[in-house]
Amino acid sequence: MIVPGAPSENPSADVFAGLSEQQRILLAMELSKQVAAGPRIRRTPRSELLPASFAQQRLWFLEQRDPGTLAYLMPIAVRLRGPLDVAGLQASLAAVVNRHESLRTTFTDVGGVAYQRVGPARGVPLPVTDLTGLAPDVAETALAQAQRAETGTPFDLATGPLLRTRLLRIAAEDHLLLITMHHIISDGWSLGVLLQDLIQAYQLAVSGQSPVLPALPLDYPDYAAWQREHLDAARLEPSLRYWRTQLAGASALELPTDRPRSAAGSSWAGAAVPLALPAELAEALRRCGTAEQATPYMVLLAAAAVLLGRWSGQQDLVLGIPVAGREQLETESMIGCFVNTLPLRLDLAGDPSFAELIRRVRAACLAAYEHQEVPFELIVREVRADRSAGPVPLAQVMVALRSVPMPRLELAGLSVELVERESASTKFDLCLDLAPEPDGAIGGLLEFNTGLFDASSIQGKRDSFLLLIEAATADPQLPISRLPLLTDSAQRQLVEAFAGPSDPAATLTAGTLRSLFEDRVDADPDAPALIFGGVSTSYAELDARANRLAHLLRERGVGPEQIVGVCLPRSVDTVVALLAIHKAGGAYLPLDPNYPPARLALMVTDSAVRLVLTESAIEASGVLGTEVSTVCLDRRPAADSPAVRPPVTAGPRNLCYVIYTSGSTGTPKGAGDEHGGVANTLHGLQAAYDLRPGDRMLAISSLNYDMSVYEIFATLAAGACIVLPDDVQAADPELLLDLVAGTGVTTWSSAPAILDQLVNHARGRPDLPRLALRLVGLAGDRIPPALPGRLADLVPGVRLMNLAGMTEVSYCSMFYEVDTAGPPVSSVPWGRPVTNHRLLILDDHGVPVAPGVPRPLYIGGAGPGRGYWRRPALTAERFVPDPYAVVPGQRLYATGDHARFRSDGVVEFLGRLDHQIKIRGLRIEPGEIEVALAAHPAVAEAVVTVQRDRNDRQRLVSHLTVHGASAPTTSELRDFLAGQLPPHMVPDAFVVLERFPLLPSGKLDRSALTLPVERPALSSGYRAPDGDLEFVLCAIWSDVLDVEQVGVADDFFDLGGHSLLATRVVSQIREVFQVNLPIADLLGTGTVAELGERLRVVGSQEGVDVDLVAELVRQVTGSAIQPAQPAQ
Amino acid sequence: MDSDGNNYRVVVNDEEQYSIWRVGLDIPPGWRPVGPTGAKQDCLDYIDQNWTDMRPASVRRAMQPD
Repeated sequence: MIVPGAPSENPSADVFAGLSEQQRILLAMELSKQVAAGPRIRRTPRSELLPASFAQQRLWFLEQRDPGTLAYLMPIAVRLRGPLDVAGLQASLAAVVNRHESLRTTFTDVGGVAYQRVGPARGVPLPVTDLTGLAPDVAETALAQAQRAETGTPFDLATGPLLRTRLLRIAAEDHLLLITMHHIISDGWSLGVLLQDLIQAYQLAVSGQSPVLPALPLDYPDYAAWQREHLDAARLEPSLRYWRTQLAGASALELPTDRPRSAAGSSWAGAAVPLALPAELAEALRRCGTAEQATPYMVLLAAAAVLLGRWSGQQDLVLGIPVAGREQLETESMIGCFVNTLPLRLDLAGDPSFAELIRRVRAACLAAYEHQEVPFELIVREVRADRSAGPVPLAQVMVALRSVPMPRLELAGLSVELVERESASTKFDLCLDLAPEPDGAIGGLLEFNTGLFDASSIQGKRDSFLLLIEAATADPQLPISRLPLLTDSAQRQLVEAFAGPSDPAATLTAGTLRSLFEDRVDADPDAPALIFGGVSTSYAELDARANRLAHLLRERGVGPEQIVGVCLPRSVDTVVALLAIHKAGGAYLPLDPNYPPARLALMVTDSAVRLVLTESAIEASGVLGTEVSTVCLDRRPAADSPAVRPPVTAGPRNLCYVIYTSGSTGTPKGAGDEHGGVANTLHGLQAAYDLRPGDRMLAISSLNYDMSVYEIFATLAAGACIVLPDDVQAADPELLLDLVAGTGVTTWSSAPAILDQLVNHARGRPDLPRLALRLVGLAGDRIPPALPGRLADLVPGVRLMNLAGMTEVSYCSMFYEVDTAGPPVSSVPWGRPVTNHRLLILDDHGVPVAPGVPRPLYIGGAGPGRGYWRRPALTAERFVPDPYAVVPGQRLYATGDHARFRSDGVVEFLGRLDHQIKIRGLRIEPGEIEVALAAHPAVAEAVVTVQRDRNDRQRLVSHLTVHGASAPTTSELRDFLAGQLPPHMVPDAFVVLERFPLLPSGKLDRSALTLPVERPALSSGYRAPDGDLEFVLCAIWSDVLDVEQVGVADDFFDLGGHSLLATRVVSQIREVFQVNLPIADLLGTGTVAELGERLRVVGSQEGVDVDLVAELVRQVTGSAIQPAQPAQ
Repeated sequence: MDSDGNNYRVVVNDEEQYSIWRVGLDIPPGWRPVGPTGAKQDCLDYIDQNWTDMRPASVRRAMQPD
């Protein structure tokens, strides 16, 4: 990346050397004002319409885009204590307005360009609100109300006035003067000018003179004209080049927000929390700056960069810094919008010391100041020009420190004090607006966008900011990664409050899966344990069958710490096999026969399993290879074994199962868990599920998916009944629905995709009997945003749990109850820890991070299992020492997931560390897009992924299924989303599927979601369209089929067409040609060439010359409708 | 705790489970250094060669014939 010029290469970098602090501040101020000598501002003749400055043009444009916005209101309040001459004050206000043309300016639209129009001198209304007679609390309310009314009322830029005033009389000698202006005619500096002029005029007024202020020789219109004349491209080119280079490849600063950005829309509602550096800390800040020859502002910027870097996880930041924009001396006494924003790019890479960071900030500031004459709007345009698409937000966070305190003046017995007023809106995500105070402290406000952040999280950030300034100024040599964002006690509290309570003995006392089952057999032997194929099996019967098989396994040498494969279709035998392996002391290794043979072979080889329980047909197929011995349960091998329980040989620390993970990253690996840890999870989840003997749990998950552990063993541990579908039922939503309804299933657990299919099928079945479901648990994948609401519609009152965890940590560590009545959310949180699991979110140094900060998630306590089967190095790498362990020596599992704590302790998943989705530097949130899509009435399910096309470009693709027969068109969906999402989040392609592809585990098979925009390889060669009619028809096909290139001899169905798409093609043809083409004609013809001929016939019957229409269409739409030319 | 050119040391707990820990950070209680200090991969290679029985020590002891 491009870093700001190193000090030695920068001509102005060393000018600070050897200066006193005061001199340095003055010099920095000068530099921040300085610009290469150029033509001076001259008086420009006043005509009715005067050019607007760049800043005015931009603010005007923003107002047109978002009429009535409050984001650019500048409210101030002036406390006037002492006897007040109200008439004199009003006359003084008029004098100030008469002196400054900005305060009389409005804006006129001439063909989309704003012009200034300066109105004549006029009086200023000063309505007075008298609060003196009111009770104190009533007066307080009225005061706040009056202030809110001022900040909540927009300005009309066309009619003006753009300044309004109101006087609140609090007591006879205590008043609050409210002045509100639009930013288009004012800025921070202007406030000082206004106040000074007002005081001067008032002094004249109260001394009996006419409050007339001397006229200004030059005013804002002269500046605007000068700017338009002299800031031309040629003169600015060197600076534009600087900004282009400086900002090349910059990413937007993406702070993790409390609410999704898309939901906030362009809302600029804002609020602020106060922020104060006490005099002592402010002094430390100044000293720290002095040591590095930097201004206090630069130190503040460095501290802000540390906070923002840690918060966002970015090492390359762009912040907005304001410059006064008053390079010419004459502008210093003007009121108007001069202020300019510069995008300051800071590099935090390499974990520099705080002192080093200050030096980097200083170099970046000085370089930016040298090129400050470029208006922000031009920088934005310049940077955007270099990018293929999408604007780059350059100043979401602003850091401002005024150089001098606001005046606090005393005159004629009246004290005048500027009171900070909280704005009701903000143009930024965050804005730190600070000013020095007379006593040496630095104070001000931290403004934030309330659409994005909660006040509580901003308060937390404010506290972190102060803490880190304290630590950084105390020891500037500390690497910035070591600067604390939390106090030690806050950190301990965080671990205690968020990691979760932990009983270290749990894994030894929770039991084994065997003992949990047998306890239930003894408690109620006749209770139904399992329903399969319409037949119920009791606990006693299941126990006896498992005992018999266990004896056989013991004869075959099975004991503790040995794995036995289970390769069976869903059946009673599956459950018997698992129980028998545990009763023999061993651990099971699921080998789902529905998995591809290559995958099965890999698991068999990698695990070195010696014995597999299976059935004859599978054994005969040879998928298990020749290295293993088998026991085929369909041959009833244990029929003669005793039904009594074999002796107990395995305890809580023994291996319980080894499950091969799906291997979304790298090669599949077997994760092993121990009985005690798994039993602890079963107990912990009871808090969510509260399974009871009357419950019926659908056990749909493949044994290779750890959700099955819960479905089978939690049900048996609770004395409830497993409802087991057969392999056909498990794969067919219709049959599954019948099973769920017919057997009275009360609890469900699966990956979300299966439930999604079921719910969508049920919606089309009005005859469906009422479902008995009371609780649904989902895990393994993101919950589709529309699913909770649809589930609640189908089964009113059902509770929905999001479960999260990994096989490595006893399969489940967190759960979260989803509010099915709430609005759809793009990403359901992972929730709070299961009993005795500990959740830690740690930085690179193993230090817990503050809430809101995304970092890797670690899971400890009773969670971590045995590790990876036969993989010592991998286990050692991922199961690490727990520095915060309750019991010394415990391990933490490094999940490799990015997560953060909400301020209430709930964990939110933010993505795989290695799977951040970004396109052109902008973060993509698939979940947010899915939420938006699900709101479309025709969309049933939607999944958004990023795919690479053949040019290796990243493309955002949405796969979806639809309700009913008519799928919405790509353009319809695009229009629909464009109203709700930023442009970079609108998918490039939409692919309608009959149903989503699923993995055997029931999870969505993302690898099967592909990007089918290329013209597929067809038996017919490409034949280009000939004539306008064929061109237009090819274009329609291309649009509907989302295939870039359509040849006239290509078959509609070969290109991926189906009947739904045919309907769309025909409706587009009808719309364009105004002929009534029957769908059968399209289905009967098959190619564009044939369709064209058919269309000519139908057209002539209806009196339409389709060739003429096509010619007109091509003329009107130009190249837009022209299909892509064949690649050469 | 990620791969980053840092130096690591091999550590082991009372259950004789191995792991790695970054040099420069305090070793958490219940763990002691064993074997080499060096690049992450060197430490992991050492563990691959030396952690030949991944059963926890308590399990191993319980399974020994009396």
